[in-house]
Amino acid sequence: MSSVVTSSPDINSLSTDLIHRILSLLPIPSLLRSSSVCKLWRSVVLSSAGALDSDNPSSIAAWFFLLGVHNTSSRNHQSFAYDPISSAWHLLPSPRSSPSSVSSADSLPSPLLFSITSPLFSFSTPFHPFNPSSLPPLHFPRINPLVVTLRPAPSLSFAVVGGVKFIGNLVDIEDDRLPVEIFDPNSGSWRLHDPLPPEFHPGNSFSLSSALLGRRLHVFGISSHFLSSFDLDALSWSPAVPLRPPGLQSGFLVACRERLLLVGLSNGGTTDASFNLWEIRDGGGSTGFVRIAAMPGDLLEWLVEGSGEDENKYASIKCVGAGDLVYVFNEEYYSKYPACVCAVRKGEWRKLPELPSPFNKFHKVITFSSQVSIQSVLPQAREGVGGI
Amino acid sequence: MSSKKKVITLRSSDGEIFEVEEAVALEWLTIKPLVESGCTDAIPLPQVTGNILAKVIEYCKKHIGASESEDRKILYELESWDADFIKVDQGTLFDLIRAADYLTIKTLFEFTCQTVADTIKHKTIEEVRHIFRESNDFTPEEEKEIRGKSWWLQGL
Repeated sequence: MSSVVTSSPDINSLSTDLIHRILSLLPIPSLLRSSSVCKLWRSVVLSSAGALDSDNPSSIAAWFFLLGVHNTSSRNHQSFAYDPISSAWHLLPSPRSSPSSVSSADSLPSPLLFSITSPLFSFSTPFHPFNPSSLPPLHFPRINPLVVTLRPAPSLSFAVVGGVKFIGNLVDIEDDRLPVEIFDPNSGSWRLHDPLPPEFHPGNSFSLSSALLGRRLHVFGISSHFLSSFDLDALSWSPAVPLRPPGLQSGFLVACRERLLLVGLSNGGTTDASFNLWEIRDGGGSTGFVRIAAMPGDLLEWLVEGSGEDENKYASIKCVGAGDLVYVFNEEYYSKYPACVCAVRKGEWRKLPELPSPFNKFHKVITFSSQVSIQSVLPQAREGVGGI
Repeated sequence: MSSKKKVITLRSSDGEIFEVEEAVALEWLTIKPLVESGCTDAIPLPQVTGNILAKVIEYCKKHIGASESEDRKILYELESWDADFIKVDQGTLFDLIRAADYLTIKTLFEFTCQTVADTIKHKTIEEVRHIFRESNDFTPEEEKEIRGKSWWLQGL
């Protein structure tokens, strides 16, 4: 509350509390620009990033990250982020190496990129990919595991699930199921737990989708359609159960607020292809599903435009989500990576604008969705883990 | 009992006297306890001038009851009334923010802050400086650092 009567057309005659309040209403890119308007605004933004986060609408809506990986030259990697509040794509600095996995934990306001280059386990935010933080090496170095952030900083904790064993520079071709490793921030070491149930073979990150809800990490086989959950207190897996809504081709898990959603394409029998959202319900010893939304048909066709009559044209449609938003996109280069987003509660769908040009031809895209905190994007936040 | 609505008297910093219905004054959390205690004297508001207090009262009279309405037509009309109401010079807008903060009037405070935020949103640094006649007080070195390859400077 101001204590003196001042009437001035100068915005900086407002108290810093009031300036803080106004800036907290800005979408994150505008907020960052406002920190460069004058010294006073800069100090307001830098000194109160945490408080700004708690008020800011941008930090509630999950962003969509698309990291384009180029096989031969890391200089051709490109990293993009879509901010749903500004409805705009941003070209982020691109990582020099190829992150092997990304986290997509729902409740975390800091997206992370992970890189497991035996024996190192390192991670960084996509906003500042040049200064990764490192953890002790995994007991079982692996490629393409699922990596999930279980707890935010300061007691940052991760789970590494599945993946393929890495011996020297070779991939082990034997069917060894790798134990789950969970980083314990108290002891600063990785703890070993049971591997994924056998139904999840081959168990690499391309075949798995995960969602963290409360103390349960749910894992779903994108094309095997098995669901199992790792209880983070009991430290064990539930038996894998098949979960197959009629005609399901590929399915993805999304933690949508307190609900667990299965999102995926149905294309079978007599009906046309459709893209649906089901809520997964546990009860009476069985796991059921209820359809809660469907993508408009013209939007689905728009996602596969230019693919001709290819029978498998829908196979490149993938999905990620967090909070109330579910992003659905086509990971094929020819289609220029079209994407759309569903606001689940309102049941509203809309197209995302095209990726900013020019974008390169990628061999692989790594995508994830995460809420974004102001602290994680501030330029000063790049000093290691503390800023995350 | 008189059926006449109870009226609260307010005195601005420049000595102007205003009368508002009790229901309006009860929305102003800063003076609510005084109003509830049955105070009959003019309540002094040493931080709000008469012309701003007149605007604040105008806003609150219009909004009382209407903000909670579920009638789309009423809400739509209120929105366009708000848009006209807020067509004021910057000095008045900042005074309204200060007054709403001082008097703890949630709706007016949120509305006025959002109005300023909407002005800043999606603008370049220069545009924002120009709008608020803000001068650049960074040194050329600091400015250069800010101008580094920052992703949030794109797309404008």
